[in-house]
Amino acid sequence: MSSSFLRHPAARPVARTSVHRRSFIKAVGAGLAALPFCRPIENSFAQSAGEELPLKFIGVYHPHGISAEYFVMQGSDSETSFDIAYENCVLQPFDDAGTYGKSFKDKIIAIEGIDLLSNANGHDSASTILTGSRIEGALKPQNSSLDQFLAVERGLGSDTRVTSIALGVGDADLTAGLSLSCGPGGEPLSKVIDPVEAFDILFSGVVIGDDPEAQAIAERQRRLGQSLIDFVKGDVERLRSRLAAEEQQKLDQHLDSLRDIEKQFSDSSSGGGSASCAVPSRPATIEKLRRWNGGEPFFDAITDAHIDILAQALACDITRFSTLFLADLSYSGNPLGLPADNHGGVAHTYSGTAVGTGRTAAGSASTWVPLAQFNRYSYGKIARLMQRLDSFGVLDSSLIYASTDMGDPAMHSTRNVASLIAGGANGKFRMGRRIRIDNDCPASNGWCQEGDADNTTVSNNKILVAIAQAFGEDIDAFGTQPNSDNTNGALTELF
Amino acid sequence: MFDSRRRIQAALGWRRCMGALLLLPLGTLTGCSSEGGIRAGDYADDDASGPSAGPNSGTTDASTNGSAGSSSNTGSGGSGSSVTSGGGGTSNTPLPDGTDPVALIPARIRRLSNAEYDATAQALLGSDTRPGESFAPDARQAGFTVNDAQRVDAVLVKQLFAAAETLAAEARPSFGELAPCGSPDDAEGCAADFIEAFGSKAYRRPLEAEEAEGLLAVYRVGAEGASYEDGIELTIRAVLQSAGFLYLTELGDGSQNADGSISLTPYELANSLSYLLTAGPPDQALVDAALAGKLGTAEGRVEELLRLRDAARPESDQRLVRLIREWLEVDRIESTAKDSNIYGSFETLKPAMTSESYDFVQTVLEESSGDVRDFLGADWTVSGDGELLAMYEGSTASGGRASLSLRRGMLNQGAFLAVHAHAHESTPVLRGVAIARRLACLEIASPASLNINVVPPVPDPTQTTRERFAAHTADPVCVQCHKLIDPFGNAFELFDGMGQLRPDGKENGRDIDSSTTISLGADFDGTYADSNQLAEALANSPSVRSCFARQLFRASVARSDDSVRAAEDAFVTEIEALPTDQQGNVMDTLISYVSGPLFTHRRLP
Repeated sequence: MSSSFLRHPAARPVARTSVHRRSFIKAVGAGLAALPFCRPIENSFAQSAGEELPLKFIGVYHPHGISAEYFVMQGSDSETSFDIAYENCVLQPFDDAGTYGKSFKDKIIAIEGIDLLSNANGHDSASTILTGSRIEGALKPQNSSLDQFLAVERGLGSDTRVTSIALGVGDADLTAGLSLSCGPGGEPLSKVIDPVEAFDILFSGVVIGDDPEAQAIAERQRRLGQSLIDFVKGDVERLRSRLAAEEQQKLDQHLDSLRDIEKQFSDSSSGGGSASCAVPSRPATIEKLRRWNGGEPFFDAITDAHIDILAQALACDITRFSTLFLADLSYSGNPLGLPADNHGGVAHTYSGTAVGTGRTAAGSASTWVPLAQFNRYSYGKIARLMQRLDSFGVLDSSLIYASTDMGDPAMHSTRNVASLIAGGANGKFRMGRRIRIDNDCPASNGWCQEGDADNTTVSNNKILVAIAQAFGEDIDAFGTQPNSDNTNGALTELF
Repeated sequence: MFDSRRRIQAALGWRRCMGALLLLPLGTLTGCSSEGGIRAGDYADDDASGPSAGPNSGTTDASTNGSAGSSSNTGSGGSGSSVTSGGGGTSNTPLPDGTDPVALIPARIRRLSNAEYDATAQALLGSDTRPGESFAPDARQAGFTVNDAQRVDAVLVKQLFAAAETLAAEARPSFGELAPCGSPDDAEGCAADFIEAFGSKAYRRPLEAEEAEGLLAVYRVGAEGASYEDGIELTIRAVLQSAGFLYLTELGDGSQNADGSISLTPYELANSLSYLLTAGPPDQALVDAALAGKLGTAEGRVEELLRLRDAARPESDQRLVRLIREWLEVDRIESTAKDSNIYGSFETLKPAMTSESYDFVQTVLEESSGDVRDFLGADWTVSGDGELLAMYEGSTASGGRASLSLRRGMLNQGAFLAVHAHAHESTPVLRGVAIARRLACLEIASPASLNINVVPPVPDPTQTTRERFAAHTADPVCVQCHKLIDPFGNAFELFDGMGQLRPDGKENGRDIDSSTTISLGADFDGTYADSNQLAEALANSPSVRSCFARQLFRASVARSDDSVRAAEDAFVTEIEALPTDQQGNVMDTLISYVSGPLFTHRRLP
C-alpha cells in the first residue's frame, strides 16, 4: 500500500519565523517582542504594514450527504459565473447579504465529483475527509489527519498557545465515522463538545488589557499551572523510564498532551491588543450536550457558540488549526420542520438522479427538497463562521475545507461528496469559482470500480495535498491508499 | 486471511453485498468462521481503538499453559512471603511447577477508566462530584471499558486538569481533617506529613523520595505569598493528575524470578484485586492482608475477594452489574434513540428499561444464581414500572420481581432489543451479531474489513423485516457470514425495534416467522420456535458458559488481543474442568481468575 505523505521524509517540524514577525521584531526590538503577550499587537502591526497574517485552517464536517440536484452547477453556470441564490439551492447562505451582512460568493470554491476512498460504509467514512485514508480492520484510518500533520508533525501549530483544537456537536465518540482529527496511526482524537470547555481551553488565562489586578491574577494562575505541569511531566517520565518500549508508547501520548497544555502557561496574557482580538465572555453552561440524551434542541446554540469562540480564538492567534464536527437536528419540533429523525426520515428517503450519482435513475423530486433544506442549514453555519472571521479581519487569512462523508446518503455512497473551500486562503487559491470534476464512471458503466480501466476517480486526497502546499509544505502526496494514483498530486484546479 | 483479502481486493475491487454483479466461488471470502479463534469486536459502535485489530491466529491450543493442570481453586505453590513494609517488599512467589511464563500477561500499566477515576477520587476525598462522567468516553475493547488501551490524549489531559481543580477546591472545607497542622510555624513540616499520608493513599503504595520532594516543591509554589491551605490545594491538584494516581501498575519491584517471570508487589496485588471487584482502591484490611503475604496464596486471594464482595458495597454491586451490562452491551441503552415517529413511546419507556437492565442483573447476582442460566433464562424480571410491565404482557409483580410468561432473560428484555436495533426498525443482524460474538464467541469480521460495501434493504411495506433481510442467504458473498448471524437474529422478529411485541404476530399484515434453525456444530444447535426457546437453550449450553468465561476473562485481564490468547484459552479450559454448577457463575469465574498464577505474575514484555 502506498502510505507516504511526505515528499521529504527527513523533514523535521520547524518553528517558523514568519515574515511579519521578523518585521515586528525589527520595529520594536527583540526584548519587547519576546514578551508572551504581543501576538495580537503583532497581528495588527502586520495588518497595518500590509503583510499577511498567518494562514489558519478550519476543517468542517456536515452530515447526511448532499442533495445533489440542488448542489451541482445549473445549466447556465460557468466556472466563474454562477447562481447560488435560486430556490432550494443548498449554497444560498454564501450569497445572502440579508442574513450574513454580505455575500461570500467570491470567497468560496464549490467542487463536484470528489470521491472519498474510505472503502467503508458511508457512516464510517468521516475520518477519510482529512486523512485521505482507507478505513481498515479496526475501523480507523491509517495516518494522521491534515490538521494534525500540519500543526504537530510540521510544527505549524507550535507558535500558538493551543496547537490545535477539535470541536464537535453532540457526540464525543472516538469512532472513524464521528471524527475529523486523527493522531499518529489514525487514532481518532477526542472532540470538545462543550462550548464552555472550548472557551476554557482557548482563553483561560488570557487577559487582554492593562488591568493590573487581572494581570496579577493571571500571572499567579500561570505560575501555579506551570508548577503542576512540571511536576506531572516529571512524574510521567519517571514511570515511563520503568517500562518496556511497547508500554512506553502509552505514556508518550500523555507527555505530548502535557507539552500541549503547557503552552498556555507560558503564553498567558496579552497586553494592548488590536480591535480584532478581544476575549469573548465565557459562555453560559448549556444544559444538555449529548445526542440521545436530550441534547438535540441545544445543538443549534452549541454550534453557534463554538463558531463564535473559535472565530475569536483564530483572530487572537490562539490557535491556527481547528476542526468542527457538525450534527443534525433530529428532534421533534426542530426549527427546520423536518422529520424528527433526520437520518431515516430525510437522508434515507432521498431518491437522486444521475446528476449526483452518474447512474441513470429517475429520482423523486419531492425527496430532494428536505435534504437540501438540511444541507442549507449546515452551509448556513459555515457562512456564519465566515461572517465572524470577516468581522475580526481574519477571513482573508483563513482556509476552510468543508465536506460531507457521503454523496448520495440513501445509498451510503462515498462518491461525489460535496466539497467546499472557503475563506481567503491568503490568496493561495483562486476563490469565487465552481469546479466540476468528471464523474468517476462513464454512463455506460455506472457501477465501475476502482482499478477498472474506465474509472477516473478523483479522490479528496488531492484537495489535502493542495491545502498542504497552500500552507507552504512541499509535499506531493497525502493519505493511505493501495493505488498511489489516488494519493499523489494536488488538485491543481484550486490554484 | 489478510493475504487472501488483498488478492480479492486486487481481483475484484468493490463488491456490494446485495445485488453483486458477479457470482463468487463459495468460500472465497474467509472472513467468517465458526471454528477457530475469537476476534475482539471490530464492530463500528464497539471498540474505538487499541491493539485488538489484526489477523487472528485463531489458535485454541491450550497446551502452552501448564497451569491448566493445576486448575483447582486451591493453593498454587505459594511460599510464605517475606514482605517488608515499603514499596519494595515483595513475596517472590515462584510459579507453580509447569507454568509456562510465556502464557503470562506482559508486565504493563493501565489507565483508570472514567468510572474508576470517579470511584478512586471519591474514596480519596469523599466527594460526590463525578467528573469522570463528563470526560471523553472510554475507548472500549471487546465492549469493555476497563482495558489497557486507554490513553491520556490532548482533550482528556485538559479535562483532568479542570477536574483536579474542581475536586481540590471542593475538598478545602475538610482540610482541617485531611491536612491538620498543629504547629503553624512549621507549615512545611505539616505539608510534608500530609504529602506522605495523602500521597501514599492516592498512589495506593508508599511514596518514593523523588515523588515526595516533587510534591513539596508544588506545595511551596502554592503557599508562596498565600496560605498553607493554598499550598495544600495545589498539592492535591498535582496528585490527582499524576501518573501514580491515574495508572495502575503491574510491573513488580524491578527484580525477576529465576524462571524469568515477574512477581507483582503486595501493593499491586491488593490494587488488582480491589479494582477487579470494586472498580476502586483497596481498603486498609486488604492492604494489611497483602503486606502480611496473604495474597501470595490462592486461598488468601479468594478469601479477600469474598470479603470484599460484602464489605465493599455498593461498589462491588456496581462493578459486577457494569461488567454484565457491558458484556451484552445493554449499557448503551442510555445513548440509544429511536425514530419518534415510529416508536413514540420509547423516550418515556427508556428510563424504565435502563433501570430494569440494572436492577435485574443486580438481583440475579444478589438473590439468585448469579450465573448465565438466570441472566439468559430467567422467566422473571425486576421492574416497578407499570408501562414497561404492560409492554411485557402477561406479567405480574410480587415483591419487586415480575414473573413473565412471554419473555425470557436479558436477550428478550427491552434494553437488549432496543440497543441492538436501528432507530426505525428491528434487524436480525444486530441482535444476531451480538449473540454470535458475546455468547457463542464466534469470529465475525465487519463488512468494511472484508471490502464489502453494505447497502441496507430498502423499506418495503409488503414484506416483513425478516423477508427483506433474506437476501443475505441468497447472495453468495453475504451468506458466508450471515449464515452465522441471521439465524440467531431471526428468532427475535416477534419484537420490533424497541422491544415491543408486534401486535397479533404480524408485520405489515403478514405473519411473522420467528422459527429458526441453528446449525453450527455447537451444543445449542436445534430448531427453535422463537427467541424465548432460543434463550433457554443458550442459558443451559456448556459452550455458552465457556464463552462467558472467555468474556469475563477479557473484562478482568483488561486486554483482549492476541498477546493474551494463550492465557485466555488456558483459562477457559480451566473453567470447563469445574463442576457444572460453577461454570457460568460470575463469582466462581472470578474466584478461578484470582486463583491462578496469571493473577500474581507477569512476564517480561
